[in-house]
Amino acid sequence: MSHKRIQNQLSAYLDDQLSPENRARIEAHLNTCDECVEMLSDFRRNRQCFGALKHEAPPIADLVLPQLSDRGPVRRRLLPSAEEFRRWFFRPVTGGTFAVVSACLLFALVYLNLTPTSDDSLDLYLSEHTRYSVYSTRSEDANDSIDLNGAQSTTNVEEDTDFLLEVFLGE
Amino acid sequence: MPLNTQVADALTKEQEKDLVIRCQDGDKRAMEALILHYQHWVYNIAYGMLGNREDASDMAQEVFLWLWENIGQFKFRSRFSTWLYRIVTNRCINLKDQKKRRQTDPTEIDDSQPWVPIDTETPEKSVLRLEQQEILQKALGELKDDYRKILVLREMQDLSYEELAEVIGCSVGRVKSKLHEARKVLRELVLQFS
Ligand SMILES: [Zn+2]
Repeated sequence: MSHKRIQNQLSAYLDDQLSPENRARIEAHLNTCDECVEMLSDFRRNRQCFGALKHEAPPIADLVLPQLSDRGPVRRRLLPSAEEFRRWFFRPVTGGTFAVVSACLLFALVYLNLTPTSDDSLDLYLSEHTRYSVYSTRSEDANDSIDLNGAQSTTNVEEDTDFLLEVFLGE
Repeated sequence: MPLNTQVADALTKEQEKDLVIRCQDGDKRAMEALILHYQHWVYNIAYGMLGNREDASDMAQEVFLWLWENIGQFKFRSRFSTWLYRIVTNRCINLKDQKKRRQTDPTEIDDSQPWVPIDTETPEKSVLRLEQQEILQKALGELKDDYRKILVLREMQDLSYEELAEVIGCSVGRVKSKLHEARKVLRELVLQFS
């Protein structure tokens, strides 16, 4: 190994980070190279000097503890706050997505005619109402021998239907 | 000099995790234990980075106050200690940048203190040693933040290469080469000031 390559490993040698083989190689070189010996001893001295800078800390805990807020650390919340939701919703991505989805929905309702029309629901209601009324009068017929009652019932159904139609159309 | 910093070695990973979880739940007593455990480490890293005691003490307090509010951000992806050291070193570098910017403002008076020899040094300590320390402190003042950070963490705090890689956010191989570069630059500076 060249002098230069050995030199680049002196730091790792100082920290005992080398394999035994590399270590032995460096030690063999150190026996012959004053420059590397000097560098290593400077590294070692600076390290010791650095270590001596370390000293007892002032009473940090005594100074900090009275200042700790009672509120404590910021907790993780399961649900976002109203403000967080507002900010999330008005991001360009969320807002844009919402706008596009709304536009598609509107298009589908208007042009694909997916929305139930008022006629359909009225028809359904009227037919159901008629069927129910006719059915109930017929079951009454079965218990009643007078034919007149049956005719009367039919009239009632028609009147009911007319009345409901007026109410529905707001007339 | 027996330092309380040595105590930090005694805390197992599980104990550390337990303390952090309790802190995250707002347990002040756990926070107290955590501060007592790490105050010397945090303070000394800040001292190594900033170069004077007053700033180091302020920084250590600031870091723990920040920690109390933000410990929920710690997700146990690394060791708590390495996360904490990253916070300390980064905040120190930010503070230095702020000071540097303020110094360029001519209306601001430069009240930052220069490196001072440690007054707890006993009188019997050799003059040579004090001289060496003064030279080191001067050299550190000239060192770029990246180098200063890795040297403080390695030479003062004795972090392993793996821990250094975690704090700095690079590979162990990069730690090895960076540490060598930093030691070489520091050596040249020290020789220059000698
Ligand atoms: Zn050599």
